[in-house]
Parts: sequence; C-alpha cells; structure tokens
Amino acid sequence: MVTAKVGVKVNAGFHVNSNAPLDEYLIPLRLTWQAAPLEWKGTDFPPAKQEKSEFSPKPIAVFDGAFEIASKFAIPATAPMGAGFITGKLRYQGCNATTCFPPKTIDIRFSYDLH
Amino acid sequence: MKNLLRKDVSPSNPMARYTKDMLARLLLISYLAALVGCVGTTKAVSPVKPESQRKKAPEFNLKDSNGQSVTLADYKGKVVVLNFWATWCGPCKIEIPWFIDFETRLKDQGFAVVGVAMDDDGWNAVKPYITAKKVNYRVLMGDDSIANLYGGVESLPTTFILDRDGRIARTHVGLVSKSEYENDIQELLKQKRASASPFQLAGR
Repeated sequence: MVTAKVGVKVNAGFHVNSNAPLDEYLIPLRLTWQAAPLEWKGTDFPPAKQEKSEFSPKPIAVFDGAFEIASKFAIPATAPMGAGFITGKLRYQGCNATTCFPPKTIDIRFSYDLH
Repeated sequence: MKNLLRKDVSPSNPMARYTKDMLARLLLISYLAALVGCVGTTKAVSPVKPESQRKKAPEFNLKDSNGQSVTLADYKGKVVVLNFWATWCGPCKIEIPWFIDFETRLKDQGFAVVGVAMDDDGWNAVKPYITAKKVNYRVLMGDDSIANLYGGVESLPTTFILDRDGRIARTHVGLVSKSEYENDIQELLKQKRASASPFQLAGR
C-alpha cells in the first residue's frame, strides 16, 4: 500500500466545506481518483473545524488554512513496470463570511515509476 | 531494476517487490500543492443610484417551480428584489427570512421578491428547501445564460434592486444587512414611475 498526499491551501478569510459538512445542503469536499492500474483503497481527510453559522442550527464542518488529504493505493502484482500516472479530481466549494463561490473541480495528476 | 529487486522479494507476497520503491518515488516525485482558488472579495456597496444613472435590467424568461414561464416584464411597475442564490450558499440563507418578511409586508405596495436559484441540481435541490422554509415569493431556476446577462454573477448572494421602471437601482454582492435592503426598497417605493402617464385610458 502506498499513500499519496494532496496538499491544499485555502486563502485567508475563506473556508471550504469539509468532506462531511453536517448540513445536507452544503457541498462536501470530494477527492476521487482514476487510479488504474493501481487500486484506490480510500482517502483520509483531516479533522474538520466546527463553525457556528447564522444559517444553520447546528455548527458546520469546514477546512481552512493549509491541510493535507491522504489517499491510499494498492499495487496489484499485475501492474506493469515503468512510469505511469494516476489522475484525480478535487471538488470543493468555498465561502467567506458574506459570500460563496460556485463549486469547482481541480484536476490532479500524480506521476509514479514502478520498479 | 526489476531483476535487482527480485531476490529480496518473498514469493508469498509478490506485491512487496514494488511497494517499497514505489512509495519512495511517489513521495519524492508527486507531492502536489493544490491551491484552492477562492479569490475575490465582497464589493463595496453604493447607495441607490440616481435615476439618470440607472440601466435597464436585462429581460429574462425562466421557469418557476410549477413550470410556468416568468419574465421580468411580468413585474412591470413594481420595485423588485432580484436575488441570485443557491441552497449551498450559507449567507444566502441568512437573507431568505428577510425576503419573506419584505414580501409579506410590502407586496401590496407594488413590491416583489424574485429568487433565482443557481443550484446545479435544479429543482431536486431547490424545491425541498423552499418548501421547508415556507418561501412566499417566486423562485425561478437560473442558469449560466441569466448569470451572464447580469454580469456574470461570480459569487452568491448577488442581488439587484430594480425600480418601478425595471432599471437597476442598486446591486449588492455578498451579504448585507436587512436594514440596508429595507432602506433601498422604501426609497424606491416612494419614487413614481418615470414612464408612467399622468392620464389613464378608460377601459373598452
């Protein structure tokens, strides 16, 4: 099993919803992979920050500042040797105290070299 | 390289021969910093524009939650709060109870709130929300076309306050206070229609 870490930096004053934002209408942070020939085995997000909001009776769970998301991959015995890459998509939706931006998706690409 | 590693590998665990080396290379080669591009700021607000500086609000034709076509011309003669919002937008949801209150108190004075929902999931997302919150004003389903007509609408909430002649008298980008909306609306309600004739035609 190998781990690939995606570092994220959210601009000061903004936050993105966590992977489990605690409000059914909020758009969660999602990281998905096209990992073949590797096998994506899951993703760990850091603990979210709980924030009180005027629009929700419960606190919402957000990420701000810099944080890392770690995805695990298994390497099947049948995986071909040599260089390759896997691609991922990070979908996020960010806000500050007064404004929200539409959800966006960032493309991610990891290179690897199997020996 | 494959052969060099082979002698270190346990035959019962063929995956092991790739894992150690790949782990090192993945960490070495592939650390990625994804800068989340939440750039932008809430624009400074300006007071209601003098009538001579107001521009006509772009006409639109959108569907409401019952599938009925609605145009801006349907609101001719009214002061309109045209609010772009989405169910995923927290600050937008702070404003909704204010708009419900304005609609209740002011609709008989020639006033209307029109919500334009910008949810990608369409009515599936919006209908349950407006039902649960007992939204008493008309909500239309927006799209990129109307957003472009109104200058892009890059962030939510974005609200246009239209005078009785369908001209944009004020724009709010981001959450502002309820009293600020109230002041804008009251000021516009006091103003007569510029294009209104002093004479009324008798009915046929």
